[in-house]
Amino acid sequence: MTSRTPEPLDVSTPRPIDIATICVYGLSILSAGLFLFLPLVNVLSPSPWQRYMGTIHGFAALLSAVVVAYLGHLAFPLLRGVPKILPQMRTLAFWAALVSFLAIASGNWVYMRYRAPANGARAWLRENTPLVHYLFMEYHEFTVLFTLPLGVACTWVLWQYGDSILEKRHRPVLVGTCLALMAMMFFGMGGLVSGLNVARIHSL
Amino acid sequence: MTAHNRKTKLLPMYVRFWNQIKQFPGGLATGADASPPVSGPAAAALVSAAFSCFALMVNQHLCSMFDRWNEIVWSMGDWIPGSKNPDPIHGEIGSYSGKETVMLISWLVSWLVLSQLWKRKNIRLSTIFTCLFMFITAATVMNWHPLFPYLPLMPK
Repeated sequence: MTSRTPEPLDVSTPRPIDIATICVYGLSILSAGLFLFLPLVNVLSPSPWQRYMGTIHGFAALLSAVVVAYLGHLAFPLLRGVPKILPQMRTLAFWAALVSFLAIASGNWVYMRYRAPANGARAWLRENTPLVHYLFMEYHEFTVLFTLPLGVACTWVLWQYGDSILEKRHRPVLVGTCLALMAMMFFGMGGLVSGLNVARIHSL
Repeated sequence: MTAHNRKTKLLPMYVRFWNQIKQFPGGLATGADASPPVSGPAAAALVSAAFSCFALMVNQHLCSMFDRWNEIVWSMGDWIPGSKNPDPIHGEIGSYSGKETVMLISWLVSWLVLSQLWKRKNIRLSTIFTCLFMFITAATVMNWHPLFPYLPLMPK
């Protein structure tokens, strides 16, 4: 009677679960990258101002909306009292406030051309389709500003109160911060949508 | 090598990169050394932020109604680059720069005042919630106040 020894397992061959994990992460990174390149279409615009101003403000606004939305979604586990997300929330709130400021600053620069007397978008919109200006642009130019003080306030509160924000005595602080985070996400997303709506009707 | 280090080293590069980003800057990630014992400072920060949104929109209506006030507000925004620019191609920000300035001032001043008033007080959840809700809702609704010159609204 002969006995066969089992063949050694080939450790260099990746397991299906490893390949699947790489695919999941890879596709998520590709999807996020693809979405962030949405403003790149601006470089194909016939308007020279839209080509560079629109691209820069578009990237700043989209990045801001993505970071603010990511932060806003963390308000759910924060409200449930999950402690492990706190360090991430403190840094993310800071970055969200910073990119919101960059979106606002680039928006100021773009707003100059929007109002320009020579073929500016504002005069054309008010003459031809006033709803776009009064409904979307008025909302856009004011509500995007709301994200900055809300973001700074959330950053300060999350940093200052540290892990103690989850204690029962600080329940009002926790709830107030979650509400402010959600409001920030609401205005960040609204700013992106209203800005895109204006841009698709008339370029800079 | 500890178990934690071994586990960290086994993670893919992009996961380790993302984990590092989430903890940056480290001083913020760890939080402050000592937290306030009362809710007052947090309430001051949150309520003043919401108040500045409301103040921005109130000021916007005042600017729409009174030209003289609009000019004063515009002059307050002179420090922002592009506030006034005679170039017809690149345009100017206009009185919007002053409105941003009014918002900034109302935010910082109200934060300073409220933080002094509430620094040793416990502010109730109902107070924080009511202030946040009222200011933010009013500020949002005031974007479409009937005082704006709405008509004619439809495309030609």
